[in-house]
Amino acid sequence: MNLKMDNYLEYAGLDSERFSVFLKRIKDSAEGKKRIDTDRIVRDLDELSKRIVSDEHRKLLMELGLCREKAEYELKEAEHMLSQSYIRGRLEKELAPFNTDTVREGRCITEKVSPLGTVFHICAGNMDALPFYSLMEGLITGNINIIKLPGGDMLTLKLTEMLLEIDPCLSDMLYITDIPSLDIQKLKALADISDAVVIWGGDEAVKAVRNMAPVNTRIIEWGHRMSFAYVTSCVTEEALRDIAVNVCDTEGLLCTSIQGIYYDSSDMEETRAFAHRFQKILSEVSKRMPGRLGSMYARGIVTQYTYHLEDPSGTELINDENCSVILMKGSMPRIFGPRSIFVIPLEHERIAGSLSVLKSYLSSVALYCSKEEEDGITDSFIRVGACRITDAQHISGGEDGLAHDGRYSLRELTKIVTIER
Amino acid sequence: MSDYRHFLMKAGLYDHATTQERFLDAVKKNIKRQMEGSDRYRGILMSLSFVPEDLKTTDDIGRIPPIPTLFFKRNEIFSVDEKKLKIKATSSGTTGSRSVVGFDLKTLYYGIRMALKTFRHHGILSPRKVNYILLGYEPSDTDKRGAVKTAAYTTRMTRRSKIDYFLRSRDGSFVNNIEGLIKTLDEYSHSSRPVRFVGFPGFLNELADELIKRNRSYVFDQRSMVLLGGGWKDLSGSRISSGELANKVYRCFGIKDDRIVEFFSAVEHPVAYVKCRCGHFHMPVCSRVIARDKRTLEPLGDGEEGILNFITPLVDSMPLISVLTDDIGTVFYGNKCDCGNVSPYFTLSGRADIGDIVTCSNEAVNELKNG
Repeated sequence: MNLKMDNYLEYAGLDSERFSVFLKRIKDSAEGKKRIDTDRIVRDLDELSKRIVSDEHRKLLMELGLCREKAEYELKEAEHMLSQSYIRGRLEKELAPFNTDTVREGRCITEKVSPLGTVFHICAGNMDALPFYSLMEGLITGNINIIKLPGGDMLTLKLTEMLLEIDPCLSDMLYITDIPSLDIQKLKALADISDAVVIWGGDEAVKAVRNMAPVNTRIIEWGHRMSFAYVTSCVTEEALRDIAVNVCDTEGLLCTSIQGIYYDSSDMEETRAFAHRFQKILSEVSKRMPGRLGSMYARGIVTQYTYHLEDPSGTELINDENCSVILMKGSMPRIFGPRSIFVIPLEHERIAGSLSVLKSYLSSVALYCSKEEEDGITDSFIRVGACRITDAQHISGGEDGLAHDGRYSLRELTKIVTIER
Repeated sequence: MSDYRHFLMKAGLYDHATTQERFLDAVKKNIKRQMEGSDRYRGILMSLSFVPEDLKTTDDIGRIPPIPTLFFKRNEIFSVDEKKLKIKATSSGTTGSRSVVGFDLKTLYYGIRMALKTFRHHGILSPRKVNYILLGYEPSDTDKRGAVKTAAYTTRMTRRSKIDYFLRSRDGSFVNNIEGLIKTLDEYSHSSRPVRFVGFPGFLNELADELIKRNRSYVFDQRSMVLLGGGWKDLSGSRISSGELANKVYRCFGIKDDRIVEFFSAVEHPVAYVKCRCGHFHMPVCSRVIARDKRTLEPLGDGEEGILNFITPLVDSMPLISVLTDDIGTVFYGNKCDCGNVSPYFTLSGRADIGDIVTCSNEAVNELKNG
């Protein structure tokens, strides 16, 4: 498939002349920018959400390498996240409270949410079409957007191409390139003309961007995070089934996927019994929900095996052909791969002391405990960095209006301007 | 007493028939050597209740506990004093950690002898002066990646006239040098010397696409060659079949498909496999390959697809005797290949890694570990 757009700068064969033209176009857009009404952008995205849920696009996604189930899942997600109701809900909750008019001592004071200007999005490749969602946030906040795609992301290109078909006027607000991370000079030139850099990636990527971007450029970091469940002995079969469903449904791919279970105990035998109990449930659920990741499961098995070789007495594998539970000593989490999750004993009194190193890396916790213990355990997890305490049914849902990693992303892409008259 | 690997130098490159017993003997001796040199490796084998005496025939080599490449990415493990390591190299992963391997003098000797044997067998050695296009990274003193070293080593299979690189080193990073390469190709086209393209297929494809876009082509000396190895790196989104790439190569450089040689190797398994005209990687005498079940890691039979496990007694300095890679493939011991090579072979069908999808959580935990 060959996707071409005027706004797409392909790295293959890129020379300095073409790159200069690309930079100039972005600068011209920023200087001569005619503001496009947010309502119009929201309607354009809504139209896109309607167009993508067709058989034709499912087939297209499959041509791009996604399996059928994954293609359907991605389209459903995209339809929701691009819909007018979803986007309006976000604008209302995240930005509307800052648009105010007040009169103070006879002077009219208007506070208004405004775009940052030009935003350079450096995107990771862990989620299909993530760059497009980052672009969408940049568009609805009124920014001009430069998107650096991760290698091989045809889906974002296709979605952008469709959006420009719907409204060609948006072409002044979006620029896409696949310049690889190793070409620092070109990335720096793009950062130099930007007012903000959004970086989706790990510590190394964030460090590289901090070194590269000018000091007056806002850096918006979305780092790598992980999630798990914490259960006490009162956890029900139904709750364990919900955890198992999350494990199989998300395949461990999201930062909000449950990667393991901490069990409130200090007793290894009791925890082993729990691990066997959970493995049975996970196996049943796994049989009902066939996997869609093919050889990625093999990776999970190899990872488990590797950790076992590293510390033969520290891990115990409880598995069958559908899934694996790895009973571990120590308190540090480990990621094994799709449908392979850890079980670690950890008394609730030791949460804060043992997991404090997780501080910048913890996303969400699915918590199952008695009512009496709930506040105390919740507080412990907030202290070690959790941004969301919920249950397994909701942990991975992109629910309308909730913060992401403890922050509202649209607010990050805007500034509040005060006008006094 | 001669080294247990010595027979490899005498035997034909693909002569499995007369070397089975000596191969098994070398494998057993290598395992014992590793166990003596590395407490950690001995501990691993003991924890899995394996002893070299379990190997009665070559059919038993699947019983050797394989060590995944992931293990080498996370742990440095040597069975000789590190001072004895003459060379250290890393895998070329574009993200995350890299395996570190180290080779002592004898291992290097046998490794280079085997590589020369392979190159000679496949007509890659030549006394002629050749111009090179290296489809990879410009080497530097600080770059320890095995792929960079191997590509540079491959240019020594002939006398080297000139060389240019797809990625040029500049101020501590690499920049795409397609413009420079096109100028270099123009220059090479005025010379009667053969040209060799060596490196990653993704970069070759990108160069060919750019030439096609600019409507340019060359006809190089008929002794020119394309030597490909490694993956598609950041360009996996534009991956095409070998046949399509061969068509582009002929169109752009006038090099026929029988002058394109594809290799398979890994820094953790330094054996060169050459793809035959039927698309099969035949096993040289110094190695055996097993496919393992994707869920149980048990050895599979002929023709069953699994994770590939490579076995070689070539390396003395670290336990690379049985390495489990991320590669998915199928192994054939009984099939007759139409290319005429009667040795067993494997085919590649994919990788068991997370590929494009690097999960957030995985990276978070890695950072936690590194932090």
